[in-house]
Amino acid sequence: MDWANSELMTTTAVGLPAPDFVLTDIEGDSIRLSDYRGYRNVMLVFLRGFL
Amino acid sequence: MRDDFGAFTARDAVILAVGPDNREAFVRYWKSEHLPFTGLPDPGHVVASLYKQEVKVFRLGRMPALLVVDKKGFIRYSHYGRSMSDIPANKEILDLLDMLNLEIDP
Repeated sequence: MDWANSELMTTTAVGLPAPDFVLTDIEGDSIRLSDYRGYRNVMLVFLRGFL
Repeated sequence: MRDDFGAFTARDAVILAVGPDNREAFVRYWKSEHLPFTGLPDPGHVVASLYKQEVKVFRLGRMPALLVVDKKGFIRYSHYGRSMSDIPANKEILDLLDMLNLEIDP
């Protein structure tokens, strides 16, 4: 297993806590992943890009 | 995914879509397509890097990825696409959400 895959397995592996983050949505509101804890399942989709 | 948006929402799921384009382009596209998901521009690739979204340098693109985080904040599913069109079927995610919603806190 190469280094990149090893790091992937240790930081975003199934069963581990999801790393928290905050981003600003298209309406200008701050969206923090941990705000959904106890409230919603989160589908985190990483897009290819439109351009 | 847009077609089943109601089905995902009915299963207590929120869809956060993170994209690599600059904010202006992202917002323009998002609003023109009337997408119902939460759109999150990430032009600095901070979150994409945090979650190890793969970049194919010579194909000049990012591979799609989808993760499901449960209500306790744990990653319960991850799919990292090997090509631009390699995304999981909606049914697979819907079934997973059904399973998560059946879990009872101790």
